Parts: sequence; C-alpha cells; structure tokens
Amino acid sequence: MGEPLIFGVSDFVAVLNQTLELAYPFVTIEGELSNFRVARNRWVYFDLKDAESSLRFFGTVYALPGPLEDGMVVRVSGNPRLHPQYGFSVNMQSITPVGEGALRRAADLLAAKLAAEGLFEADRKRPLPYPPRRIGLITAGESAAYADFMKILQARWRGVAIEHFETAVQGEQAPSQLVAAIAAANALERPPEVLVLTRGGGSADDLAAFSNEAVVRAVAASRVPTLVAIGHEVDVSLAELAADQRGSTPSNAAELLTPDRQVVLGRLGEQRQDLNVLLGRVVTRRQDALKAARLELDRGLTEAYEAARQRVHLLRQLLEAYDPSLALQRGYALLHLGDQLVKRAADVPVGAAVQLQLSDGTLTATITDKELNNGQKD
Amino acid sequence: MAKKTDAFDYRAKSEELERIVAELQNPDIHIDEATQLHTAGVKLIAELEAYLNQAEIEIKKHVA
Repeated sequence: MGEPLIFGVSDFVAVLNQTLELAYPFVTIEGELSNFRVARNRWVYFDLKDAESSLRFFGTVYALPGPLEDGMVVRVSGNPRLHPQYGFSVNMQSITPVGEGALRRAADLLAAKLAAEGLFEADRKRPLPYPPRRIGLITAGESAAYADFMKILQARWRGVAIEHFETAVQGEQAPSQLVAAIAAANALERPPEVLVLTRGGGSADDLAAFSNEAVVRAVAASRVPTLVAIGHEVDVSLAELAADQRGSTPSNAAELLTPDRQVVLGRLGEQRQDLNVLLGRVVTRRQDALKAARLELDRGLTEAYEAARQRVHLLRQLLEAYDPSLALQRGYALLHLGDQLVKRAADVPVGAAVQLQLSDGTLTATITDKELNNGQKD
Repeated sequence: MAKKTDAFDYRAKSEELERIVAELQNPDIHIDEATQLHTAGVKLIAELEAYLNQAEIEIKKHVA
C-alpha cells in the first residue's frame, strides 16, 4: 500500500473524460424516454431509463427525427461525458424510436404537427401530367419496387424518359439520401415532369424513412409534382400524405401515371371510325342541301315560265284591243289623203280626192263640202 | 443526343385530335373544311398509333 493518489476535482474530471474517450468514445443505448424537453427551440434534454437505472442526455433539435415524447422506446447514439459542473451525460448524435409502438407514436406526433402546418391539405395537391414524358424515379435500383414499376410502365406505355435517382430506401442513410435525391431532381436544368418515390412494403422500421420529417418536408416542398407509393395497400407513410398523389404500390404508381397502351390503341381505332362517320354525315348533309337547292331551282324556273306565259297572254289581249281592223269591222272607216291618215276635217280642202278604208276594201271619194264643229265653213 | 422521345408531343397531338372530332360535329361546317379536318385526323391517328407501337422507354441513371 503506497500513498493514495489524490486528484484535484478538475483533474479528476479530465482524467475520467480521457478514460471514457479511450474506452467508450461512442455508445448506443436503448431505453425509455423520460423528462424530454426542448429549450429555446434548440437544445434537447432528456433521460433514458429502464427498471433500475436512469441516464441523462443532451443534444440539439437538428438530430431529432421528428417530435418525440416520454414513454417511447428509443435508441440513442452519442459520446459519454462528465461535465465539470452539471455531471454525467451523453451528448446525443442521433436518436431513433424503436419498435412498432414507439415508431407509430412518433409518426402520429409528426403527422399531427405537419397536418397543423397544412402540409397534407387537399388544396396543395397539384395534378400530375398524364401521361408524363419524363419521370424522376427515386428508389433503390436493385429493389423489387424498381423492377415492378419499370415492368408495369413498359407494359402500359412507351416513350417515357426515366431518370433514376439511386437511394437507399431503409436504414440510417435513407432519409438524407431521399432528401438529396429530391433536391437533385428539382435542381436539374430540365427537371422531370413528375417525381416518383417508391419502395415495397416492410416492417414499420423498414418504412420509417418515408415518415421522416426531413423527407416529408422535402416531398411537400418539391417544385416537381410528386407521387409517393410505399409498400402494400395497408402501409401509409407521411411522405404519401404530403405527396401530390399517393399510390398504393410501385405497380400502382406506374398505373396511375400512364394509360394502358392497348386501351388507347382501341380508342384510336374507334376515333378513326368516328371521323369517317362524321365526314359521311357532313357529306350526306351537303348532298341533301344540294337536292333541296335543285328542287328550289326547278320550281323557280317553272314559276318564271308560268309568269311569262301570263304576261304574253295579257299583252296579246291588249294588242287585240288596239287592233284597228276590229274597228273597221264594226263599221268605222279610216280616211286617207294621199299617204296621210286624216284626223282633222280642217286638214282636208274641199275638192280633194280622199281614200276611205273599210274592212273589206277602199273607196275613193271627192270632198264636196265641209263644216267644222266651230261652225266655220271653207 | 437522342431526343426522339421528346420530339413527339403525345398529349398535344391527342388534344388536337379531340378538337378535330369536335369541329367535325359542328352541323354548319363547310365541306372543304370537313375534308381537310378528316385528313388531318386520320394522319394524327396514324402518328399516335405509330408512337404507341414504336417509342421505347429511355432510362438515365443518376446517383444522388
């Protein structure tokens, strides 16, 4: 037994921290969250406990996956430290809810918060182009989701350009990669017309990235309209609620985006028939109009003939009324002096030889006397 | 640069066809115009069919 080693307080804290840094620089601890609180919108304080023990943690809100509350089981990674004044705590680097219950509760809290901000409102939803010419596909290239989406799309439609953004769709890297992919697609000089985020079904843990706050916000903020299709029918992630449209599965996403080529080809055939029928109708209508015009023309001509005939008849009657031979037949005579028709007694001198024209011949006579109506005598 | 899939605007051509059909239904349409529209409609249908049969899906990879 030698002299006991005596430390100053600060020296001991420093030695203990050095020892911790050497032995356990980074630890991951799982436990129940308690005394969770956020100070000045920036600092996060909480305890993790189990049946026997409790540990203090400290960190920033930037490391939170979303809202958390006491009672959740979480897994926290960070650096253990002995603070010179406040004692032992773990500096939190990341925290994730663990297990179905905690994940669901965390998702519910985040859903309530984002819903209150209006991220899921129906009037934010934009229509997707139908069919799109260029699709941005955000998923893992090796996944069944990728294969399903491509298979259905190819079977239904042609002539779509797919820009594939490779990301993890589960695990710790997934949220940041999904956010980066959405940003990259939006930043393209010619962005795709629609962004599809998709993956197949899985456990709540597997799908957690699509309910991550940063991912949900990136989906909601995307300038390119979004279609999010996660898992099987029953799984609904928050990213789907924030998307412009939700698909139930990767295959369903492809179906929502494109018409079925066979159906469209069939309809084109019908439209060809329609065009022929419509043109036929126009021609028939014009032919009917022509026939009607022809009848109208014929009737007009007939009527014109009839009118002309009546006019001629009338003229003939008029002409006959003025025919001088008719007057002669009634006993009148025309008196000629030389080749002049005599209309006034004054024009004929006594002794003149005149011709009297009657209906059946001409008499020549000599004027022996004349008396005018005014009583004057020659 | 392969831009063949972008050059054909399916949506625009499809809308044009709908417009032609609607115009042909106008009872006052002139026969000359109807004939022209019919020709244009038949041509559009052939183009759309060819597009649907021939175009291919083009894939570009981005690693985000």
